[in-house]
Amino acid sequence: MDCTESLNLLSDLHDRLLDDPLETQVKSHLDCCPPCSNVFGELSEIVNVSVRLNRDPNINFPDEDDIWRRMRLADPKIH
Amino acid sequence: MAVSVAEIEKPEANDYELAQRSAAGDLAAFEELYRRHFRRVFAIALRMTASPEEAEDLAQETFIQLFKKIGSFRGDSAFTTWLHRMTVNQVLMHFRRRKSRPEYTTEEGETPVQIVQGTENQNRMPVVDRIVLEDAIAKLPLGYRSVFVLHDVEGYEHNEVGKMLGISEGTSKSQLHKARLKLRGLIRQQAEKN
Repeated sequence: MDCTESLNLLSDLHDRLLDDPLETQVKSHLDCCPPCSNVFGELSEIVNVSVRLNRDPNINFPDEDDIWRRMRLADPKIH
Repeated sequence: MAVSVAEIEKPEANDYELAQRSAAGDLAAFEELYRRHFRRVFAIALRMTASPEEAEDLAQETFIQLFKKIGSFRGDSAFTTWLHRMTVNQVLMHFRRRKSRPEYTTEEGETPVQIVQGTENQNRMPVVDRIVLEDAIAKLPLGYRSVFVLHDVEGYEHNEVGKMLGISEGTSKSQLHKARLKLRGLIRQQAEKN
């Protein structure tokens, strides 16, 4: 397996979507290719942080009451 | 005989029951749905638009649409999936109306990321924190951003993402991979600027 093939399969490897023989091939390539292994590590880090965005959203949420009132003004049926 | 609080408390209505009551004209039930789901709807709209003002308007529009269409929810899928699909549709319609995001439908529209041994900056990507990642997500083309937010942040499977966005499962996988690579590039770029 070369780097281009490996690179195309890194997300599927991370998400455990590859069948066993292909997974073994990609892992073997990563074992002997530091640049691809580095990309895999960095993609995994991005995915791990993204999962945390949902669990603990660091968002300034607007005032729900205010939007509820605006909705009722925008659609008179919401009474 | 002692009765515990749990035994006398009325069980909380589930989303499907609330949807049915809302469809029958029970505004309190609709308000309960709104309170339960507002934050997730707003968060999706925010991550897809990267604009708090637009996200606010889109969240409001989504719940107005929900009010109009709640009678058509049959419970075939989870209520959240149905509502999030509605949210995504609102965002995509918003961009189509505005036509300021021509990069959507970018299945092949982005230059593929190539890693050629020896040519890449060998420095390790800086530590990814939430702020860095949120900034990078906001810079993704809309097509990539939609798939990334729904799959990696919201946790939907590719078949669900495909249904929400009207793309195939294979396209969802391919766009997700490109989105992750693009994010990696954006995070590295930002670190080099700093």
